[in-house]
Order: sequence, then structure tokens, then C-alpha cells
Amino acid sequence: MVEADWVEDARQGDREALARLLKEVEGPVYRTAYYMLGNEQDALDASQEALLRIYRKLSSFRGEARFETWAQRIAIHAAIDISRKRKQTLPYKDEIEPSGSEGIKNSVESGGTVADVHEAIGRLQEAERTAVVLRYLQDYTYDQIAEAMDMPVGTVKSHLFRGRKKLKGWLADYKEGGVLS
Amino acid sequence: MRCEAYQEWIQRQLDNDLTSSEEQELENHVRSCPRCAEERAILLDLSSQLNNLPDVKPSFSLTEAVMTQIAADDKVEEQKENRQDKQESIHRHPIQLKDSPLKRKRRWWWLGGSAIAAGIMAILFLPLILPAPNDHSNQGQPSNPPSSKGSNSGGLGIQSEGDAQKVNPSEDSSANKTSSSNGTYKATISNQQIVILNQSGKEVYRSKSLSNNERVAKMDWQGKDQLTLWVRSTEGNKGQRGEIVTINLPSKTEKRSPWR
Repeated sequence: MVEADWVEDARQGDREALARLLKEVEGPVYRTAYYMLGNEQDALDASQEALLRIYRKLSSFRGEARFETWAQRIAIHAAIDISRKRKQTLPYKDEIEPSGSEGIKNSVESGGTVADVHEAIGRLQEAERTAVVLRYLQDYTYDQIAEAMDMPVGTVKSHLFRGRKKLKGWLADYKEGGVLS
Repeated sequence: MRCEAYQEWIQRQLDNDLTSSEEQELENHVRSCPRCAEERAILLDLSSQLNNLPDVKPSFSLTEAVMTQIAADDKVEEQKENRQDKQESIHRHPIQLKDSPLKRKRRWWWLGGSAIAAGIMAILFLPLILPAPNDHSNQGQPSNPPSSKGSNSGGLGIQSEGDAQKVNPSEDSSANKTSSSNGTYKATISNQQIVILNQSGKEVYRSKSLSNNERVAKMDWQGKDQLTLWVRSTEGNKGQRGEIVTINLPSKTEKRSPWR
């Protein structure tokens, strides 16, 4: 749990407080980046960039959000920036490969469902993916997701619900494909 | 309520967002609606899969890496600042040197012209100026009213400019004299200002403050009421030793001209 005076101390230039602060959010920031981007290297790049941005933006943090939520917001933006740079946000039709292709093979090799779910998350649109990641990987409530995404709760719900619906459909397809092959 | 609405409730149930009465109502509906029951079963399965996604951790300390980078950035920033500081003081010269050939040419031409003019003037006006009653000094050079100095509006102005150029303070025997030639005034430097006192010690003039990087190399009275100061600047322009400040007491004016 981040203490309020850590932020203040870090803002005043206390490097120890800054390190403590970054260490506290490092794990959650990486987790979000990893599930937003789907691979370790990009996740490492995005989370380092996010931690740097947290440091640089520290003076603009006014405490209107929880520090952890604020850090998540920065992490999401850093991940989206990298994902756009790598052009990984192509429409999923271009990304998904037919049954029996590498994607499925990988998922079978790595034990099936986890890789399937992981891959399916990668096919969601940015906002849907963000909502799902924050809900399941950060265990956030609607309000917290709304705070991190800077969106009204209603919008967050529709992104999350739509995302889950898509995942449900895709995973059903995977299951069929997996069972058949 | 239609199935569509219940499907949203199913989603909200996954997020623990239903009130207990909504929860009850949904249970009742699902029991009687196989479609919604199936939908809920699949979504529950998905939700538990999402909940069970493996936690991932970075393979190295990101904080450490970032702190190292921040420290390196600080260093670069510091060096940049230092370099900028240095460059500011170094660059001041090159920038001026850049256009100085032209400027210098022009200046020399102008100085040459003014020197010739001064010579001609001196010859023409010497008889008029020499008998001036105030010339008790041993400088052998005419003292001129500096109020018109640099104005280029009259012959005297040009002559005085040339005058200042010609005076070499290091050769001037009357240098460092702080009292005027007839002892009427006394000049002192206090807080980067030249203060002129009269015989009874009353302040009659106080100059504009010199810059902090300026110091007076020499002071000399010309005539009874004109004080010339040679001011050196530690950040002076190249090709210029400093500035010559002339204070004229009757008009209470001071003029600056380059000291080369």
C-alpha cells in the first residue's frame, strides 16, 4: 500500500521514496502491460516507460485518484503507445490464424486454455482489453476501472461486457477447434 | 423482464454488482430459462478462466533499471546545464566574432574618418580652444564637453570621441588622480558608483552603477569638471579593453564609449 507521504517525499526529490513508490507499483504495472501486449519484451519496455512517466508526472499527481490507479492509467497509456507502435492493434481478422495454425498449436503445446484466453484477450479492442485486464488482473471494481480509464462507469461496463461476450464466442470456437484437432 | 436484460444481470453478477433482491430474481429466471442458464454457465466458466490467469512478474527489477536511468538523465541534464553555462560565456565571443570582420572594418573606417576629422578639427579649432581658461591640466589635449560625445552632430562631438581614443591612460602621468585639476572636486568609488564630492565634502554627483563585472582601471580629471574613467570588464568584448566613461559635471551627464 502506497503511503501518502511517499508521494510527497518523492516529489520533493527524495530518491529513496521514489524507489519505494516505483517498487510498489512495478508488479501491477508489469502485469497490466503484459496482458495488454501479450509478450514479455514489449511488457518490459512498456512498464519501464510507464515507471519513467510516473516519475516525470509525479508533480502533476494531485491525489484525486489512488496512486495505484493513477499508475495503472499511465501503464495502460504506455502499453497502448507501444502496441500502436508495433502495429499490434490490427483488426483481429488479420491476426487470427485458421485452426491448426501456429496460434492454436502454441496453445495446445502450452496446455490449452490459458494460452487460448491470453490470445483471445489480445484480439479485443483496446478499451475492451483494458477493462478486462483491470477487472481480472488487477481485481478492480467498476469504479476503479473507471478511474484508471478516465471514463464513466457506464462506458466501462459496456466495454467490459462486450469484451467478455467476444471472449466467450472466441473461446467456444477455440474449444471446438481444439477438440476436433 | 426480457432475457436481454437478464443477460446484463448475469454480467453484473460476475462482477458482484447485483443487490441481493436482484440476485434472487436472476436465480428465479435462470431456473426457468435454459438459454440464460447456459449463457451464465459459459460466462462463469470464462470468468473463472480469467481469474485464474497466471500472475506474471518482470524478469528483473524494473525500478532499479528506471532509477539508474533517472540518475543517468540527471547527470546528462547537469552536464547539459554546465555546458550551456560554459557555452553562454564562450559563445558570447564567437557570436560577436562572427560578424566582427565586417563590423571591425566598418569601425576602423569610421575611426579613421573620425581621427582625420579630429585632426582637421584640432588644427582648425585649436586656436579657439587653447585659450580656454579652464585648461590648467598638463594633458596637452583639449578637454571637450562630453555631453555632445558620440552624437556626431557637431565637430566637437567627433573630436571628443577621437580624444578619448587617443588618450592612453597607462601613459598618462595624471592618472589615478582623484581630485580635479584645481582641487574643486574629489571622486571616489563606492558600491560600483562613482561619487563626486566638492571641497566641503558634499556629494555633487553620483554615477550610474557599474556592472558587477566592471571595475575602474583608471580615473582622470580632464579640466576642472570632467572626469574620465577607464572601466575594464571581466566579460568584456574581444578587441575592446573596456569602456571609457566620461562624466561631465556641469551637465551632469555621463557617456560611454569603447576603450580599445
